[in-house]
Amino acid sequence: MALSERAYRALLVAYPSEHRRLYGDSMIQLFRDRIRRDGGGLGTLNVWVQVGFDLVVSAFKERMAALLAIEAWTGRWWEASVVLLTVNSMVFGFTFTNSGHLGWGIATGFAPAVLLLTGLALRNSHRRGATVLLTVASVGAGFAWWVIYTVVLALAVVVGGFRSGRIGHEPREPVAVT
Amino acid sequence: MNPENIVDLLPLPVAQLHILLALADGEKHGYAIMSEVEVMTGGSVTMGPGTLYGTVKRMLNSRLLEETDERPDPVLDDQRRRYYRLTGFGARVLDAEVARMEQLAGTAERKRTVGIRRLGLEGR
Repeated sequence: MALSERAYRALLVAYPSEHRRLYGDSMIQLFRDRIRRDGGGLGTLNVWVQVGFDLVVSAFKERMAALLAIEAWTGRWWEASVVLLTVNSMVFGFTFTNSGHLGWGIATGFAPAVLLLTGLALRNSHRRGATVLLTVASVGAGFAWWVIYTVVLALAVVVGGFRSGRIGHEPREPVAVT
Repeated sequence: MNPENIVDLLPLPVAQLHILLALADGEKHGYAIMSEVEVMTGGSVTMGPGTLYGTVKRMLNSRLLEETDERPDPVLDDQRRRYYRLTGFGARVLDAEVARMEQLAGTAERKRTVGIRRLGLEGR
């Protein structure tokens, strides 16, 4: 196996494992084809510049998509719970130390996580109200100084759910080829 | 398929439009798609493996494409390659996107003509 191909194969670790499993071999094949066609001396360098840029941009995109896809978390309750509890503990700590009110800290720190997990559970069982709960959870977590937290949750719900049609919609029926 | 779903997908991202056009005349594997896009764009667009297969994945999820086991020429072809082709829905989305672009191009042409007349640039 050529050095370039070995290097490219190693760099595929930048993509999520699911993406690598589905398309890793095809991507290596395409890279091999490019090197075969355009490689040799400066040509190889040129291919690497193009492919390197492509790799950075597309790997970031795939990582973000994997992170924001609710499906990526719904089957991993332990990981999702740990992440949510960590984030919400930080929010709770911040709120409690700033406001001095225990109840206020709990309400703003943990209530969104409870709503989010409930929404995910309902969504898994295809119950109505999952979309509402998920949206309330993400919006409810939002106060002025938690912009990043809110944006991440809102994106997870809105982009990962509504845009892909996986929440609140029936799956699309396969269409026969004409 | 609800026709409203076609409208939801428009305008198509450029990479998706290129892939739909590349597959309009038959199934192709990744390298053939990339080569076809290069030809269509006069060499100005070369899709990298990450962009191509990331886009293909999204298009498969949207049911614009499907993977096929058919081979144009099984004797000459590498069986390990994965081939893709348009679905009926993908063909309709491509049709709607091209119609949208034609309408836009028509508007642009009318605006351009009006602009040239207004600025007195005719014949220059």
